[in-house]
Amino acid sequence: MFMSPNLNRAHDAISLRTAKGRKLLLKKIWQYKWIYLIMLLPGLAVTVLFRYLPLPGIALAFKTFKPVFGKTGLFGFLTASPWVGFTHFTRLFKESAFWVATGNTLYISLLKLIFGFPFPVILAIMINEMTLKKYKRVLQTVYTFPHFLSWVVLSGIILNLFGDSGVIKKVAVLFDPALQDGWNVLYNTAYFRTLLILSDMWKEGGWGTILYLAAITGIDPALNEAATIDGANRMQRILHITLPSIMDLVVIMFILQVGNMMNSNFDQIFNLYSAPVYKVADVIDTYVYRITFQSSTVMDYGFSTAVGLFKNVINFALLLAANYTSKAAGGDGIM
Amino acid sequence: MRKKLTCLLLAALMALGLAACQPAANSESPAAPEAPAQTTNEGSEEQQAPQEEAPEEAPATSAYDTHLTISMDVLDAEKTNVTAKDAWFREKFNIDWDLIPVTWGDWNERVRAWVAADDMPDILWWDMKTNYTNEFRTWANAGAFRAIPADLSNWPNLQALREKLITDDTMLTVNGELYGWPASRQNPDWLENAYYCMFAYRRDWAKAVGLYKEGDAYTWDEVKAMIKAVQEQDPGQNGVGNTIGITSETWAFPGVFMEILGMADDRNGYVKDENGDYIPYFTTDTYRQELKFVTDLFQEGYIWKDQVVDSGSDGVNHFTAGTAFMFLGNNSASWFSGTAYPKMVDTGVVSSSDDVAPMIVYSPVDNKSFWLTETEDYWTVAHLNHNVDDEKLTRILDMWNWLGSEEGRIFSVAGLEGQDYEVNPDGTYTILWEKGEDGNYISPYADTASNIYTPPALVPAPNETSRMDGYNAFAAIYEFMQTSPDYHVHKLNWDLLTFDGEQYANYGAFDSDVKAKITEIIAGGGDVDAQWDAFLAEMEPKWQPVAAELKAQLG
Repeated sequence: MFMSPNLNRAHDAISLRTAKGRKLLLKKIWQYKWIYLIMLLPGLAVTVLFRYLPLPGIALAFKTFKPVFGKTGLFGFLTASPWVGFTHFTRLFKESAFWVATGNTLYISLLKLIFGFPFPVILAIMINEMTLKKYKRVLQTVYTFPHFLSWVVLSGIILNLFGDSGVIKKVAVLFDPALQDGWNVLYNTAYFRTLLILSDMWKEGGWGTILYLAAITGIDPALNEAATIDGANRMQRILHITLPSIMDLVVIMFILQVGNMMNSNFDQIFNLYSAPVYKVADVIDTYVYRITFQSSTVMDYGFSTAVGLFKNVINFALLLAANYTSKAAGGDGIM
Repeated sequence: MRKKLTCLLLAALMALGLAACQPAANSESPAAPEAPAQTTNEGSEEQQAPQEEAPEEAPATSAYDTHLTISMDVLDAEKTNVTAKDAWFREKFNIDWDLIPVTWGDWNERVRAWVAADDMPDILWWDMKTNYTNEFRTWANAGAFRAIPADLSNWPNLQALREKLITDDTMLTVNGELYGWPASRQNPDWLENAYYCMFAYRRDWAKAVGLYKEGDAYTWDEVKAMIKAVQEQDPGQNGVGNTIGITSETWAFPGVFMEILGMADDRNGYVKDENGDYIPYFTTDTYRQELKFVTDLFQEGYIWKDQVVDSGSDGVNHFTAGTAFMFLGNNSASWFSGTAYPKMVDTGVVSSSDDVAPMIVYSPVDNKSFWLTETEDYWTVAHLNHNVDDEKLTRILDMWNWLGSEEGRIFSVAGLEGQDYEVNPDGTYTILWEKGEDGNYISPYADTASNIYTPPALVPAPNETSRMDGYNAFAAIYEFMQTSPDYHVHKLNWDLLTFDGEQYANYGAFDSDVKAKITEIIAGGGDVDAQWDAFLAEMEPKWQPVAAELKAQLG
């Protein structure tokens, strides 16, 4: 169903199943074309510029990048760069650092899925259950605020808190003086992933509740009232009304997150990690960045593109698998 | 109707946003922020730094009819091109600057991206060190840069600089053409182009704990004893045990800690073994000994624990704030004058410049030799975009040539005649700036940057406006470096640095991998030998083809 911009007029609802409906839709679009076009343009421009125009660059994964200069056209470098077949992939699969990065990417994403994904759902339900409205709003603001700080800022805060001169160490030393010389939370492989997961939950947990709170708000109050009359306690109402009502949204968010598993949070990890924790925290994105921009040898965009292509193929496969699993389990997919 | 109005408003806002994103039509340089006020010596009024205004000594007319806009990437862009001195220079050469900001953190990355995308400024200025030689050669061969004319007879000051430089011919010349201009360091000969990666330390604290030695030269055992004593006796009143031992620049950890130990003469990426074959230096036993030494320093608490995760300036900040005893960095005399003393003496962290000094730490091999490392004879390199036309090329070379003249030198170190200095009858200069209590000049340009004038060469120091306490602090060390047989310089292998082999270009000496591994080992401690052996076993198949190529082509 397509609703015209004037949502108050129910008769404007158009059925796309009939020829008449489709004709009416075209008429409505024509009628309001300038609004749509204006609204569409920025998004369209961004999508074309940054999502479609660079697509031919994927060919670099099978070429050795050669810079070209002068009037060579937008993709002149592709013509100048010779084909090398699967050379980059062969090299890639032999690189131990790549496999470490792939393993870390999946493992960190899995941890975030297990601990980070349910967190906003639970938080949203808890906030929804609060009866003091002002306090509820204050809490929502407090939880949401960290989302608006960049990882550069947050990592600075975390590094200062957990560093050798940080407050956390000073408190810890009160309980265990031996930590005075042995403090190394920021580059200890045993703690680093925990630090990543907790800091991610802290930053994004509150922001993630917005969608779920909106969905919870849409639940028919009559259901809760009827359940209360029938003697259901708060936990029972949550389990049997709130959760099932938002489950479709939870599933969609889950599929999207699974489809994004190969995209670990580059900003977070890049700003927090250091060489001693590469083996537990170097993910594909940081690996690509390091080999592309921080390597002391000649830059090889072809190799970097090969890594990126590999990552996106896996991502796409994961997205399809999650969508298929969801549908097979009787739920809704996103495709 | 209301919706249409809202949409029109939105559309107008979008159009406004797009218009705001357009570059200024006249390509003016970034808006000039007001330079901060400088405090003069006691009893005088506050003096405002020079503003963007008509200079007193502006050239009546420029010698150039055509107005040009020259783009260049610079550090501290927001502090650049903001003074009357800069306005005078622009007018003299009839140019405007289109400055593209870079920071130390992203400088080389941005240069690489610009070149790859053929989106370079007219003057591509960067911190090109020897390990970027192969990449530069690839770019030059592909036509990225405009060659600097071989015949520099129209620019005699540049010609004179070329005659003194080594790297213009060795590193920056490709197929007979010079594709980059190195900003000569203009070092004295006795320095052998070694760079000052040495320690700065709190001499006052060393005296307070009774371990100071005349001449500021120590063995590592003495350094360790001093650090422990400072941490226990707390002369800096940071709290017992809270004073940091050694901090460093981020780039200096851990490589420079190992380099200054002086355990091997040849520390180039590849060295020859007893069979005459090339092997990476990191595979040698001396490298392993260096690694163990620095690991012990770190694990025993002499090196700041957060040095591993510091990616900014916290290391130097700890030192200048008085919370660290020693600091390892590019600690030249001008660093003391320009960074350490202004931050420590002028802000009261120390009572006099004598309290902070450069420090020699002898090699642990013999406890008497002192090692620095040869570096390029320039600081930075400026390339010219291949799109730069003849007129712009001439203007740029004219500017650089003038900056290399005596008139250009005094402009760089002082400013404008009549405003910043006067010429005496004997040809010397009288600086017109006010002096502080300590007798040093108070520069009206203190909080501004001038790297637009850096590309041709660094100005020799000390000069008329230098604060001399930095140079005085080096008196004993200069004497040692010029006279002692125990002063050594790790020499660079120029054949290796300019080698164009494909394997070597692609992998080099695996610096990134090695740095990551040694940092991991130093921070993690444990069995260094076992970890290092495992790493060497993993790396051997990777470096073998490079070594074979070196053997085949360099012999």
